[in-house]
Amino acid sequence: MKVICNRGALLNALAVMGNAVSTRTPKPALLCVKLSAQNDQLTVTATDLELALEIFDNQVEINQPGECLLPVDKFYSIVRESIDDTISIEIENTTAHIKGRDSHFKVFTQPVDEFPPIPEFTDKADLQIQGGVLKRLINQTLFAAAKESSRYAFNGVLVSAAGKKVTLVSTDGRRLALAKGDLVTASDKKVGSAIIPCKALQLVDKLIDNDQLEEVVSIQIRENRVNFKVGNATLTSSLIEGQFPPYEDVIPKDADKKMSANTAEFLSAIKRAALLSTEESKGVRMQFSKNGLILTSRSPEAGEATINFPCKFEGDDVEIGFNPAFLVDTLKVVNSDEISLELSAANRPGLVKSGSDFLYVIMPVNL
Amino acid sequence: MALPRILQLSAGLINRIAAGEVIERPASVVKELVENALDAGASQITVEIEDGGLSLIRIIDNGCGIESSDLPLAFASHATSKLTSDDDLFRIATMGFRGEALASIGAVAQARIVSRTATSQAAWEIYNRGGAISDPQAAAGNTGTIIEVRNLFYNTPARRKFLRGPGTEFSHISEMVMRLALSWPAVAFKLLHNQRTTLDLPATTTEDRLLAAWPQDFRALHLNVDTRDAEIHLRGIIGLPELARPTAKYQFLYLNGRSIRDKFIIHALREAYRGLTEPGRHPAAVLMIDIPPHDVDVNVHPTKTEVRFRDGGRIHGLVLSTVREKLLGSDLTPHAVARRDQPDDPQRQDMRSRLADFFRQPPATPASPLVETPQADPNSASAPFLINPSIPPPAPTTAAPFNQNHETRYPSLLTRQPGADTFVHAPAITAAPSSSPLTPPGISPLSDSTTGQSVAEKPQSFDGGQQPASRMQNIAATDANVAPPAIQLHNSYLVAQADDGLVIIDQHALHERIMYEELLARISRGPLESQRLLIPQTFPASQRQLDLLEQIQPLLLKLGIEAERFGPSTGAVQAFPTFLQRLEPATFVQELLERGEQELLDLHEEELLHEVLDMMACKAAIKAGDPLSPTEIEALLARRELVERSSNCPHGRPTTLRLSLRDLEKQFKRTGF
Repeated sequence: MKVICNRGALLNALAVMGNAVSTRTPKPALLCVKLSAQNDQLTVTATDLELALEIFDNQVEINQPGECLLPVDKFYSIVRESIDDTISIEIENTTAHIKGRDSHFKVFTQPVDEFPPIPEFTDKADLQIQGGVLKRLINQTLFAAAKESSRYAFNGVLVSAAGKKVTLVSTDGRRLALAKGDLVTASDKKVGSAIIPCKALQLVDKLIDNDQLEEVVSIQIRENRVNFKVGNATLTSSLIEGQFPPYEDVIPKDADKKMSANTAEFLSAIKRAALLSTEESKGVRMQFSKNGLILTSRSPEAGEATINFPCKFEGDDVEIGFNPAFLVDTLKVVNSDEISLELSAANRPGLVKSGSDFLYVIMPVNL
Repeated sequence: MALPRILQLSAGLINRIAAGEVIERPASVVKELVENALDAGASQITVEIEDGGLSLIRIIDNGCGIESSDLPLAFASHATSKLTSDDDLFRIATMGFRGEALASIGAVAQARIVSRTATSQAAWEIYNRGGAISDPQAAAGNTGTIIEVRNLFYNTPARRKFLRGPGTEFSHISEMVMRLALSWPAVAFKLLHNQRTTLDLPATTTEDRLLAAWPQDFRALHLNVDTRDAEIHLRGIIGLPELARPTAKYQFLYLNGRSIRDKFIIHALREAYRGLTEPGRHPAAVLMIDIPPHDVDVNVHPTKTEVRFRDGGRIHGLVLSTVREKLLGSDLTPHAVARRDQPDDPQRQDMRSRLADFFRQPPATPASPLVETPQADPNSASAPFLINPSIPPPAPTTAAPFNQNHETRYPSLLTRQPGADTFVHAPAITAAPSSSPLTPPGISPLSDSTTGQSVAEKPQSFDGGQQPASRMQNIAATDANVAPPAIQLHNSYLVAQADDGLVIIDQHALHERIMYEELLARISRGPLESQRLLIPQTFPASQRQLDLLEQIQPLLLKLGIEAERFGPSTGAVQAFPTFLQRLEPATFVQELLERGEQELLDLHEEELLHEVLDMMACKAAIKAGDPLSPTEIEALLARRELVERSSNCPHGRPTTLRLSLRDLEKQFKRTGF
């Protein structure tokens, strides 16, 4: 194999690749990216066995087709630190010669046949969505998913679609985020309940170019796999098996009290009220009345904080505790200036709404 | 077949049956007779044993003796010189009083008494051979009484068969004599077995006598207790937690000078050591309780080892609070090097007490010799043990910083930094760039604590000619970027300099203890803050587990856990403490119930509270293997000083081992220089 690559394009590909490679594996081949040069295209592939990412780089000049496995951390560092515009890669037996103007790296490769086979992405897409919309949906839900729950369904985001709408839902058992978005074309078939691992969505989010938010992302959901096609990359991931909780039952419908406020102001008030909370007393007490909202937090070691927050409130007075981090998380991702918080009682969930596309259920804290 | 007739038993048979209750084994004979000698005012008691007491028990005392005319009565049942009226029974101040002992012994052995009172010209002797009592005869003898008991149980073969070998029987006797001797420091005791002296206790002070109960190497590790309220006086010695043993061998309880067994007091003692010793271990303690005779009934059982208190709760409370306070006020850190056969040298005692003083010092005025040395930068010299007011310990957030490593597995999700690498950093090395990993800058060079002179003043011994000035610069330079107060080894242990050497800390055990104490303090202010769950988390549970759950529900609620029965074989958690956010609520409750089902849980409210808090602390604490940053280490060590009982984790395992300079010098064979 002998190729000459544009350094910028290769660097972009490798930067994302690092996240797809397993961090701890006894198998050296899995710490590598696979390079395959053929048909005027260099394909860079990485996998951690759960998901696989392929990026097609065509800013290359292929002198001799071929394949090789290179350790991603070394390869990435070499490309990142390089001072050249183009880099030449030549494989000779088990050694890769990576050359720049003034540099020559000999990197030992791993046998190509130790790299696991990657499923192909050939069928027609099930869902088509604009990159920008998908990015918003991911940002508005991913944060609420669990990190390492033993209930595996919580470690992913539920994707379902009907007609021209796609819905993403995530929960960690304490709060739930739900975001809706439009598809480019109505999906032919109803997509039921696919739970996509957080890591896959995180990578998709990275792959969507901020300068090309209009570009369409194709999604294909099969029995136990999901495939994304984003620009010059494809990502395939196994789905999380398990039952996502019946989230519709959790969304409160009996809320009879409603606060409306400016998003940024409310966020600031919560952040300031939480300044004196500690690990053991992290809740913030919120007293809602006609006159507005009083936020207090108290910890025996640190002290006490009180914030008077003027806002619109309809309904009977109510006092409720929330984990401020949960509210901050969501206020950071809503993309409207106004939000509403609906409540019913101190031990009942609160419901944050922003427009008609986003809602967030948050369970209170018993202070 | 003829019907059996009901017959009155003969007096001899009655005594023989009664003897079974009082005289269980040779040790019981020794007990009865030594108590008699003590009641007779003896100041010297010799006990001679042959063949474990089976062939001979001889007690020689120098007490008041028995009048020749009283001698025949000595063997009579319910004859005693110690009670004269009914009322005396409720004000018992002597050891014996029932008048059963000699009669019982006479009934099952061949006994001989030789006794002479101070005023008598000669001694008199009398025999009792299995109940047949001879007339008193004149004999040779000193003032006092000699009682010989031969061929014990010769006429009750069944009982004799149940005796163990002479060795075992003698060890019972030896323990019995020790028990008696402990409460009579002014009386000299001597015990011989087959003519060899095995115990020789000259008359001495109370404390010295009590220490005789323990092996030599225990003795330096004791604390004295002495408190009294209006009527009760409690004194004695207690061992440091490290002396706790799997058996209660080194526990001795006395009530008004009488050795007793009492579950109440044992319980109080165990509670006082809760969390300091491993479960199932018995602390070493010799406790003497004096209470007015009318507040206790010792006449519960013939051997008088069980007693009934009029106000048991008060005694329990006094023992618990006294012992606990004493332990909390003391430095309990065990030594890393097992110290054997070391004489009780005053220097060590001095070191210990200085160390204890050091810990009691308010942090602002460190009296350590270290800070008087020229390189004494308060930040570096006192770092390991003084709470530096300029660096506030971070809020007790453990989840956030300690979780770092955890979350690097999803680096870009939470922190969108390209540099947020997935490599575990090693603070021990990276934090100390300008010095070798073995001597990080925060730990000032070892100092010679006996002279108060820092090694920095004699540089040749450590860094081969480097000038003190340059060393100081070194320290100053590295201080700027927060020098670590300790080094972390294998991401599990922290090593820090202590006043007289170094300490090795188990990071998990210490953090667990700190969290436990903080939770305990938090609980006293109200229920733990708890996060309601979106969807109740269900878990499968047995009927028994569900019953248990209902039983402990109120307590769990206090701890911020709302859990309930959710069906015939299901439980559900509705709310869970916010600070345990990283744990799975259902898994936690399930584990708790499983432990309860296996009867590993003590269901008394206070004990249960401790158990659950302990579980919480254990799960929330940093684990062995978690890398810590220098600031985290510093915060952990600072909190170590704020927390009571930090020397042991809630399970009782030590959190900290100490290696003193003396130990090091010994190991490096530097002693004698």
